[in-house]
Amino acid sequence: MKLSAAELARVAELAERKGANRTRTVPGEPGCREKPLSYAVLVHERRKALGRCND
Amino acid sequence: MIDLLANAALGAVCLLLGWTLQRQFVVSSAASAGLDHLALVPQWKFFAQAKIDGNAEFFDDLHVLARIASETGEPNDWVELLYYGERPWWHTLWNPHRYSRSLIAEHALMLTLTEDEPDHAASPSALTYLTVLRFVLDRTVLGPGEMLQFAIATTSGRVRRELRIRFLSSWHCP
Repeated sequence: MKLSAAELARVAELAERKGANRTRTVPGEPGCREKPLSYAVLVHERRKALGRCND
Repeated sequence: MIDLLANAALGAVCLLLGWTLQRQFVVSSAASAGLDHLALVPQWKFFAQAKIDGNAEFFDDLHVLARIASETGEPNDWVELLYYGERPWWHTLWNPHRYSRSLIAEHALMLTLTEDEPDHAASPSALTYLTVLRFVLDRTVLGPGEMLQFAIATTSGRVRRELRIRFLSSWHCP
């Protein structure tokens, strides 16, 4: 079932709380906002890791 | 005597047929499962497995959500991208998105399971993570400098839904 507007607002609240405890954020300079991870870079990393496994 | 036996057999067959019919539409309870200990009564579930406990409030629904943040880092509202709603009757015959939806749901579920064990948490370059991220990126339009984050939430129960965020991703750009 689709989430209602009230439930979506609750998601935002819970996400803020979970985000505060999240450890897997990208470390940056103090005071700087989190730097986004690029999908293309992640895929490239994965391909490199797979390549290393096949070597 | 033979008539009596024939009537008893006919009655047993009718009872079994009635029970079979009832079993297809009603969530089986632990008591009825106990009665059918040898699993003689068939149960054809085309769309979902029956929960062992049979309590409708124990069903979990999966939701994949995403939000976009502007260049300044201010996030927008969450938007639901994948959820399971009531299905139209023609999905019994024609449901071309069934397998692709199930695939994304399976990967999303895997992410929630790994998140529950911090030692085995999926890294952003894991296949499950990338699959869900690709799905989310395909369904959102990002402007220059914008980034997105996805979350996987579950709702427990059908009447009093309890909402939980099971997975929260990092921020991403294409």
